[in-house]
Amino acid sequence: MTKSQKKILKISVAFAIIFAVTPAVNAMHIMEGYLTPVFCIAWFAVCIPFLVKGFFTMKKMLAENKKSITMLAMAGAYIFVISALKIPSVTGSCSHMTGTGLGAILFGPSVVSILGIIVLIFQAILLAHGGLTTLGANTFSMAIAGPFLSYGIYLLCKKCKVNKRVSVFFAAAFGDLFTYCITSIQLAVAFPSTNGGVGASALEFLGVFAPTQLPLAVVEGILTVLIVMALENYAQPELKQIGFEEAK
Amino acid sequence: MKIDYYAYRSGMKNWNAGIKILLSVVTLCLVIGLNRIPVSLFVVFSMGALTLLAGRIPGKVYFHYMTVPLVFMIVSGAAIALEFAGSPAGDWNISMHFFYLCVTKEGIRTAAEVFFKAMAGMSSLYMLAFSTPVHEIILILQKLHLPRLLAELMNLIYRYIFILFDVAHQLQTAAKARLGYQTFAMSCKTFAGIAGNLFLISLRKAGTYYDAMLARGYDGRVEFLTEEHPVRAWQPLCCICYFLLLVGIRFAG
Repeated sequence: MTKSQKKILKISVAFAIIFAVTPAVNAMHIMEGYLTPVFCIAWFAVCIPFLVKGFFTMKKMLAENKKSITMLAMAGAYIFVISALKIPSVTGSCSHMTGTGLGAILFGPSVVSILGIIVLIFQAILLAHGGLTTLGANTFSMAIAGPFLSYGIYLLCKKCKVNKRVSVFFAAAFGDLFTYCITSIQLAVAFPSTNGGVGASALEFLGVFAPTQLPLAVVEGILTVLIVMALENYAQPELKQIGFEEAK
Repeated sequence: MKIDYYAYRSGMKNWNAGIKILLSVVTLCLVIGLNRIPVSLFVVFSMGALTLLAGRIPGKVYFHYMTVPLVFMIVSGAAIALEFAGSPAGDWNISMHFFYLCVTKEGIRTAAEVFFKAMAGMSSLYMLAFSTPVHEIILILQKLHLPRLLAELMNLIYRYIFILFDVAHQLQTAAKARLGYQTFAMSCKTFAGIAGNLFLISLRKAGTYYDAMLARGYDGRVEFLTEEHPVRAWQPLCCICYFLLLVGIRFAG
């Protein structure tokens, strides 16, 4: 084999490892029983202000337009179904997107925090992803931190007049990555390493989940762009109805 | 979504939902609060027995669901047990040229404790999920003063999930019949098409359902009716005995 052939072989092996070692990935839900009582309660407490804000936003939406009730419920069901559908993968392994980045772009982050906690409860009860005691931690990482960052990036890109597709990609991909970082940090705080403390432990968790989560974030970004494009082609009036502005 | 199907057929369906939630949640709290492997093991077996024998859930289904989070548990278990260090440390270590992979007895102990806690937590969550339909859980949450708006929203979302799943299934079948999943790029495009159309359909349905609700006199409140299952005297007694037993195991072991 020539040098360049060897190089290609190496790259293909690396590619295969990255994509092949991706068994069932349930978008980083912390399992039931993983956290000690202190952290279960603490993460819930952190979520409360965001949930209260989301609740009042919803109340306001309903006061303005009663019709929002079915719309909000459908949005919640949509996020649940999108996160339960198998996304395409090279190897036929089974993975899911979080769908909250898309939700944040379409419906706004504070509404998604309330819908997110409801979706997480249903995921725990109906799909066995996540749990009840870890609900607070999962809500913070998946329904609050991820969507708020997604929305922030989306707004920032819009202000800087970045191409729409690029901004949607960054919003969704970084939202997903942020969720994974927050989950790793949550696990690290709960299980600090004996000779390195929380920092070393966080690096370990980031490291072990990276092979599954990095490709997933890219795929989620690409899919979200494709979905938004499809929506702009077919669902212009509906997008206006939910207050989603088209940025050219 | 099989869990929902079995919840409606469970042998424990006619037990009071409050009791089942109490049993499951208090057991969860005891498992993570007491933090002992014997307690966790006892909960895994007792809750499993309850679900399989009293709930009459097929064993195959139950074991399938117990293995769902296995990947997460193995990967994060490895992260808890292993340590990276620049110099040899811990009770055992392997040189990886740039750094050492170390394992301490403490680390393994923590990993094992967490593994069994997670198994115990899951089995008590499944006891609830496999025996209690969602609308009964929502009703209990409402009794615990969950705001009315959220309870309504949960009920509606729960119903809409099944409608959207049906639609998604139809779209997927149609896409499959038209060879929509031949290559990776094509399946990405198909997935996006399905997700986009699903959004469109769900918003249209939301409008239709609102009109249907208005036609039936919707005035800002949706009422959901549920069967009431009375609490039998032996149920709370058994629960208390079970909790005491768990605490007993903790201090005996």
